[in-house]
Amino acid sequence: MIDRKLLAFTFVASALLLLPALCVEEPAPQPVLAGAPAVATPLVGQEPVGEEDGPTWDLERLRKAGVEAVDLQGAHPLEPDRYHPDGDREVRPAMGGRVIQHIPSQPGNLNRAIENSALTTWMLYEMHAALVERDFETWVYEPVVASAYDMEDTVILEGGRSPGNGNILFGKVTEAGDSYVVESGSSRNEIETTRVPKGDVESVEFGTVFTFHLRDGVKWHDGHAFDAHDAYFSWEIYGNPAVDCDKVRAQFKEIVNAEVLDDRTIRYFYRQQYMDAVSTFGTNFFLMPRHLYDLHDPDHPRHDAAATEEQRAAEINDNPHNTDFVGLGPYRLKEWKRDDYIEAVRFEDFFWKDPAKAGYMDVLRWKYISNDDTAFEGLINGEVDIFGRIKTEDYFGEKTQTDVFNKDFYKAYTYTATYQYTGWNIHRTKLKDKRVRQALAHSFDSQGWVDSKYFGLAWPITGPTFFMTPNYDHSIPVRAYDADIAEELLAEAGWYDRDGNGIVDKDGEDLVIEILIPQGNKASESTVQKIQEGFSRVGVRVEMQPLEWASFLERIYNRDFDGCNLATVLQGGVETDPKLGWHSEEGAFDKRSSNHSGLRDEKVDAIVDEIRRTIDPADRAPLWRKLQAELYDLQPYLFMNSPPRKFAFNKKLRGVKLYVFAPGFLLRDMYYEEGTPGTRSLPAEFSRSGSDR
Amino acid sequence: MLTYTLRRLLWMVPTLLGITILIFCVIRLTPGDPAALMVSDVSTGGVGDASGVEAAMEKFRERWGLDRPLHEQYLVWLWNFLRLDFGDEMMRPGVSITSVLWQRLGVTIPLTLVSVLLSYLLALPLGILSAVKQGTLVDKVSTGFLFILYSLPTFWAGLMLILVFGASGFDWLPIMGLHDKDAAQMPTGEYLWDMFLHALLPVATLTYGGLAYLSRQMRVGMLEIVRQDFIRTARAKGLPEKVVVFKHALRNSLIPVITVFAQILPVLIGGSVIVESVFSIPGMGLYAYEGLLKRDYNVVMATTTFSALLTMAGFLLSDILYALVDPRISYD
Repeated sequence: MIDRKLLAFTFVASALLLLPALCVEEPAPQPVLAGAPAVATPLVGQEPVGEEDGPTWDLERLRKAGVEAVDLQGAHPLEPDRYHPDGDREVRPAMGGRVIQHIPSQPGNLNRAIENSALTTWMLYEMHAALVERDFETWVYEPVVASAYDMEDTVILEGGRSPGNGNILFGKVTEAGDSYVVESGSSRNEIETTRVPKGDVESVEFGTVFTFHLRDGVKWHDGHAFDAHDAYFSWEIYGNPAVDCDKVRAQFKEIVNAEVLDDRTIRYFYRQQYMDAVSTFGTNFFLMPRHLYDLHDPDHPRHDAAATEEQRAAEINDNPHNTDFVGLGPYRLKEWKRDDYIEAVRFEDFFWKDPAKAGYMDVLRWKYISNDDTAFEGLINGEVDIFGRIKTEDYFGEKTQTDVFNKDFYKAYTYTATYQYTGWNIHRTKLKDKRVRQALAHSFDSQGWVDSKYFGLAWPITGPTFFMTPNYDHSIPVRAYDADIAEELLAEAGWYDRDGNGIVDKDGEDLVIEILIPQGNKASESTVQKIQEGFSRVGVRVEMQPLEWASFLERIYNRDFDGCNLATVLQGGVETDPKLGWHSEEGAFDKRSSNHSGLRDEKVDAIVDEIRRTIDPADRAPLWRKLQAELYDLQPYLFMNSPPRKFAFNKKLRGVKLYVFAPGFLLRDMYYEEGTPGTRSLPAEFSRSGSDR
Repeated sequence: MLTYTLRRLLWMVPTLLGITILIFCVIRLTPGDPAALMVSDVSTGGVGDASGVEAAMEKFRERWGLDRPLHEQYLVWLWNFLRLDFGDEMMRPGVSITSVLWQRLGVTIPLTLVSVLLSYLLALPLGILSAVKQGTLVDKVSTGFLFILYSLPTFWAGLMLILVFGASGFDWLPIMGLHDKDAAQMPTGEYLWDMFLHALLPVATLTYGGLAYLSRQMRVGMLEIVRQDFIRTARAKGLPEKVVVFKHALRNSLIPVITVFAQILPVLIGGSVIVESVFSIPGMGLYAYEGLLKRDYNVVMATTTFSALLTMAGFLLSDILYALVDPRISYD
């Protein structure tokens, strides 16, 4: 017999206990860009490039997005502490201290040749150095471990490049009538100027020979000297099929040869001109300490001159230094407490001493917390200083407006090259016709979604290029949310409601689209609900299928889906090789690739090929815009928006600069104010105020 | 008793074998390809642009024997298991699962043991009190309170505790992990105190559900016993109430509570998935859960086999305890 009084009491008590949770208010809509400074800094410098087919930036929107400067390289906020509530106050940087950044997952290891996770890359920004690295402010690749580099061209003579890199000339190549003139373009290329008749030339590949002059005194974290043999070995491994570097192997196979000219000079030869030739030598080119990884190296503790390629590969794949990392960067790994944190400390022998380049902090820690709610509380409780996964509703909501939060933290955002999309599987008969896909684009209220879901903070996009670069054509409008146009397009493609069930049909089949979403991803869930709402207006039924990540990926790679809601990060920062995502070679049904839409279009292929061969970023920009226009027409994806990354920073951290490259900041920029306990004054030669940086 | 125990131990072998075969088949039949996961970048939540995907996936399958027939894969696993070798994590080659298991168990077992101990220490007197005072205000209040506790979802309760006792609330207790971020520099005494403070909220979250359940079991058991004739006889003999309750009733009413012991052990390990996630404690539960999400077959097999062993041990233990507390039960 149930005791009714007891039941009533229990119910009331439960309700009282649950009340605090139920009373959490829906985040009140805030003015758009509430996190931006009160007074927007006017755009400075250049107006949009005036060439006829040049980009047409929406300056008003860029201003609203807090963008300060626009130039040919793009648009970038540069001001440190831009969102800091006390950011206008001049602060003298101190040396020392510790910064703790939250990470939501853990890298498998720190050998970027075999582990390509974004997390590994971000950590290596601080713990490693590359031959060249992109300056996050200017977007230009600058020599780092190399003190300089020369770029020359290759003349491939009639008969083609022979094995061993023969039958070629290299130098600076210019055209002179019916000949090519080849002259030295490097202090280490001592050739006589030569004229080669065009008839003797098979092809000229520009920007394909790189000679790196390595910096003196560069040391590995274990004190061993870095030299050109390390750089050679770091390239050589990609030729060994047993090394687990398949995901990046193709990129390095384009480098057909390398020569060590002396301990401080190395030369690499590309097969053909390639858009990513310079950037390949950046962070992607993971320099490895040969004395720890190469069994053939006499300095290796288990040196074995007779080691086979398999043994050498195993030494790389299973090397303890993949986790016990030895690099070249300003910070060296101190401790990897698995499933807890990774800690790096200042490397005193780093080749740069200026803290503006070598970092101010003594200790960097990446703290692993898998649960985002816990991580946010960890921030409030002082367990971490940087949290980079604030949800939009929290960014504008109560969570980041409490006194406890505002006392010690502030929020900020920056746009990195990330966009959200719903990809269509073109191999599916119902989605083969581009008019159907265009109709679907007209059925989704992109702007309305950005306004309601992202409080206007995300940027509606129409193509795969990053909207803050000249590669993006702002004159291409987001497809109008218009049921009439959509219905017309569907009807043209043969889809209309024949049986009166409210769903358009063709050949006896209703147009029902299953969209996969990663399970637990609230953003995807609400996006697809919005899609459902829009599509239902034109008689298209959407079935949302949440799948955990492993199952989701399996279906994507097997092309067993109609649509998938995803975000993508342009791995190259602001542009990435378009072949992977859009070329026909990658789009075949049985090909597991990034072209999961299965797009195969000759016109697109031609543009992609041209982009890949164009080595000047300025020349590539119009080609990218052409690609954008083509994809806009073909609609392999419903391109949705580019959301910003949103952060919370501890107010004590100063010098925070927000970049367009993920993760959006560099730890080595950050410092504490002079006088902060646990810090010390800057060495006199580097003494400066924060604003001088 | 010894013969019975040995027989039970022997029976555990085919049972365990059956369980491992079942788990092995289920995990491999579950949709989701670890090779596909390996080539994706979970940290950015994107599929990412990558070439060489097929080659990388093929190599991954080859390395971990996933390209072999299922029965072969199982036999290889079984052979390794018999040698107490769980292998390496598939997603983190070079990381030995056995070493991680020990490390994780070193976190989970103390938490679980303290929680079980606390549950029993608090549940038994509460259950007895509630039964002895049946129908009074004390009984109703404690019943209602425990019922509410039992109804609270663990993740919600954990987060509430964080909000109330962490910096967002009273700022009384640390809310994350089992050590302060500077624990390595602390002297021993301070280190232990710090660990104690860190453990308070997770232990409370682990305990409250079990406590509520156990005390209800205790109450029911007690009520059943106090209605028996021998209790009436004891009272009629004029024995003091304390003697009636603690000597005659308590021992008999412990039997159902002991039954629960077998269930509570694995449940507490399973329940710790949530607690460990909410409090960011790298324990066994989180390890199993993450292994499952990553389709790391080696981790899943290791953790589930361990859980199966624990469950069987719990059942055996409770059967032995039956005989100890109830002279009427004999296995000989």
